[in-house]
Amino acid sequence: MTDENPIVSEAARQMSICNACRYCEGYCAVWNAIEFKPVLDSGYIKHLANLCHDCRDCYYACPYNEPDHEFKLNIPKAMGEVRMETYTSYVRPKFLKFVIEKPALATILASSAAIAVAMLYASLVFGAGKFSTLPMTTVIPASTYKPITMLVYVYTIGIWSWEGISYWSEINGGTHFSGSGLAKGAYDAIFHTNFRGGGTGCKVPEERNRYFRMSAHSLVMFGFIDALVSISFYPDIFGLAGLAYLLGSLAVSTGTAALIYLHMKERVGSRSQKQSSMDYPFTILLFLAGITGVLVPISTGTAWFNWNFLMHDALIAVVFLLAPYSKFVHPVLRIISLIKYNSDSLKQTI
Amino acid sequence: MGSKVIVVGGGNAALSSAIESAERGNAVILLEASPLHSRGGNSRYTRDIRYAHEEDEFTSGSYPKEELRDDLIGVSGSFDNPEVAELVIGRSQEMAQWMHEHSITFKKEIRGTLNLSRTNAFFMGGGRVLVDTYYKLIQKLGVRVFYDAPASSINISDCRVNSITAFLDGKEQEISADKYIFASGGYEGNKEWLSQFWGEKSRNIKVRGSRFNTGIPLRSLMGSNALMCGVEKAGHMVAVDSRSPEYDAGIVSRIDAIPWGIVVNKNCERFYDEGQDIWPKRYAIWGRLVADQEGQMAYVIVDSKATGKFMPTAYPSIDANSIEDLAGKIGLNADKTARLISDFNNGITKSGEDAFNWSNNGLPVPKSHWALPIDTPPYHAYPLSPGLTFTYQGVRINKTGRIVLKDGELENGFAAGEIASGNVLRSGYLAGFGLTIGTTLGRLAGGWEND
Ligand SMILES: Cc1cc2nc3c(=O)[nH]c(=O)nc-3n(C[C@H](O)[C@H](O)[C@H](O)COP(=O)(O)OP(=O)(O)OC[C@H]3O[C@@H](n4cnc5c(N)ncnc54)[C@H](O)[C@@H]3O)c2cc1C
Ligand code: SF4
Ligand code: SF4
Repeated sequence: MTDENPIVSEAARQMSICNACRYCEGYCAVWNAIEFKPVLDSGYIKHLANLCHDCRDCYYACPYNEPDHEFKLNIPKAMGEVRMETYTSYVRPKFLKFVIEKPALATILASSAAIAVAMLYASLVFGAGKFSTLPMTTVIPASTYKPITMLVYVYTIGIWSWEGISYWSEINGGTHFSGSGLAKGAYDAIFHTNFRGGGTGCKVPEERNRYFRMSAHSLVMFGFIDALVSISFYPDIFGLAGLAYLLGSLAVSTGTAALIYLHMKERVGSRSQKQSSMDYPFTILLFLAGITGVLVPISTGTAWFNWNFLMHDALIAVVFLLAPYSKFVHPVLRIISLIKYNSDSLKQTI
Repeated sequence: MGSKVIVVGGGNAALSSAIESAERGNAVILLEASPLHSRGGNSRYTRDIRYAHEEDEFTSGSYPKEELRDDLIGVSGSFDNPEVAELVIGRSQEMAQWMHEHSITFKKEIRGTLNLSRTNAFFMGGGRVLVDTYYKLIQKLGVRVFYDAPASSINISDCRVNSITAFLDGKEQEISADKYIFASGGYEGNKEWLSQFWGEKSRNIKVRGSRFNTGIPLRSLMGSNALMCGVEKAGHMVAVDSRSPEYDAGIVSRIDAIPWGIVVNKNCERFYDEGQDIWPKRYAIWGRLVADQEGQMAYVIVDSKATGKFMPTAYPSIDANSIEDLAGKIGLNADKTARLISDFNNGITKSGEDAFNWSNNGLPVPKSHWALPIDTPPYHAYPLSPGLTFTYQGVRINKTGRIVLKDGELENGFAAGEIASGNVLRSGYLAGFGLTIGTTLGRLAGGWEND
């Protein structure tokens, strides 16, 4: 249980109290997972931290919270701090850790650089004046677009996997893994099983039980996947694919706006500050990518179509390039923990 | 139209009566002694209710009234006030539904160590969610809630409450209403009162629940000749971790490793059969047993075989690889402890595979079940203190919820919850029944069937 790392050992202290209590059972997978282990070692704490998705239900249920109670619990915050630890410690290659540690700076620099490169490309290759009059496929020929996007995907997925495997080997010690655990984990991720607070919804924002957070996250997730699939039809993005792209982008921008609103409403200090400072820049980046995506079909035929499209592509590229070094590692670590959780729990029921 | 009602207290009983009363159109004021952040008294630390029911979706089977009555008599011996006990038992049947209608979500399927129980229903999030939900509700119903507002005295004459004195907005004030409901819990948080029975020992008793349950309204009613119910000195007391805070540790400080090991006091003596009977029933005797030891302290010692057999503890165990080292760490005489344990290990009779039937009856203090030898390092110890859950004594009420005095009944003074639990449970405790007493009597006082 003792870990060199004070963040992990503080979380272990808090979770030991939870393990003796378990009143939060039913809110999310953490409360079932905790029951599989009488003694919580540091790998397991990290696993629990990635099963936590920061809904704050347990915070609003706990009678032992800081600052008023001697136990000084703040589970979502403690879990968030450990989660941030795992995000940074599993960055691969390791020397790129500084990127994830400075999320605002990294996002701003990367986005400005990408937009600048795009604008330079437009003005130097085509001339700023002429640029807006050219057809889209001249500006970005499909023959260039496809290999570049492929390359970007391979890069992102490659690094994600590298990071994921490093995480998996620490939290799991290479043991239990099952196909049905994998299937159930994927199911939980897709259907947001843990976002339902055991039938009571999430207590954020404003301590009201509802499905605001689940809806916002679903919009972002499904919107993003939808946009990703429909853009693969490039350059044929005006018919049905265009409609799908519009809807996807709309979902991403509304979902991210809702998440930003939700974070801004947070007043009581029930989440990790570090987590917030990582969430904000990335959510804003996604929001901007979403908005420029919405403008793609809307601006068709206007003089600024090409400018918007190029800017949108630049932002999307940043999303993918930063993915393994930003908030966007969370799908990887979380999915892995969901798979482990489901593999473990299927094993328990036998 | 509605009348003016003052509710004294801010836990489950008070809230249930405020909801019932406000729903009937009364103008309700609720006085909670604690600040907002720790509102809810002992109800804040609860998690389940026991109620008579047919098969329903919150439990695994039916629990007839008769069985509930037998269970209550089983723990308590007899009813001090059979009329009220019957009323609570009968009315408990409507309780889960009422709570459900008032925004409480019950668990329907529980994985892990807690399985859906037949007799008790568990609500999501536990007691804090329960009371917070009710507070939100009464605010919607227009109840005026005052925090940091302890009532200090009740002014009674001619079988009527004329007014109460309470701390409101930072100063002592006298306020009056048409009707008063006292739902301020027991006096378990009042060390001075406890010392009347326990003397110096009371300093070392941990109060598991709210520090605001000081029983002032109860004492004031006693002073006005209210009749009492429930055993005077007694309280529900279990063994808790000595390292826990003096108040408000709730459920997490309890230690239930006892059947799996041995318990010794500071003089390295065992003092009671750790394996006696069925654990849930025995759980509650260990508080008193520990309270009778020197310094109100004892230690439970187990070996590595016991890991995972009992509920995890809030504080880590004290560990060592030999009994002597362990004794050193917890301040016991190493030789004496080692001798005690080897005597214990050597006389164990194992009948069959099931450790339930392993015993050591040759010792001055036998261990009648689960006598597992303590021989596999690492060894673990937990320091024990007595932890008081609640006190039993309260005021007597009649079947309308009104407080009974030596010379009559209070026309406009009602009691609900733990302050009146002695009517139903004179001593002993049945898990999940504290809330049931509070909800049923609270609703009764609030006007359920009375008006
Ligand atoms: C750790 C623990 C776990 C428990 N678990 C369960 C369980 O799962 N199920 C169950 O049924 N029971 C449980 N119980 C028992 C249960 O808590 C009580 O029986 C029940 O909560 C009593 O409710 P009440 O409203 O009468 O009193 P309380 O909830 O204790 O409320 C008393 C209220 O009165 C206020 N008050 C005190 N003095 C004054 C004053 N002078 N003026 C104004 N206000 C005052 C207090 O601040 C408090 O708000 C548990 C108890 C403990 C300690
Ligand atoms: S967060 Fe609080 S209420 Fe929930 S399990 Fe932990 S200690 Fe218990
Ligand atoms: S914040 Fe939500 S997701 Fe995280 S541990 Fe608490 S209940 Fe689970």
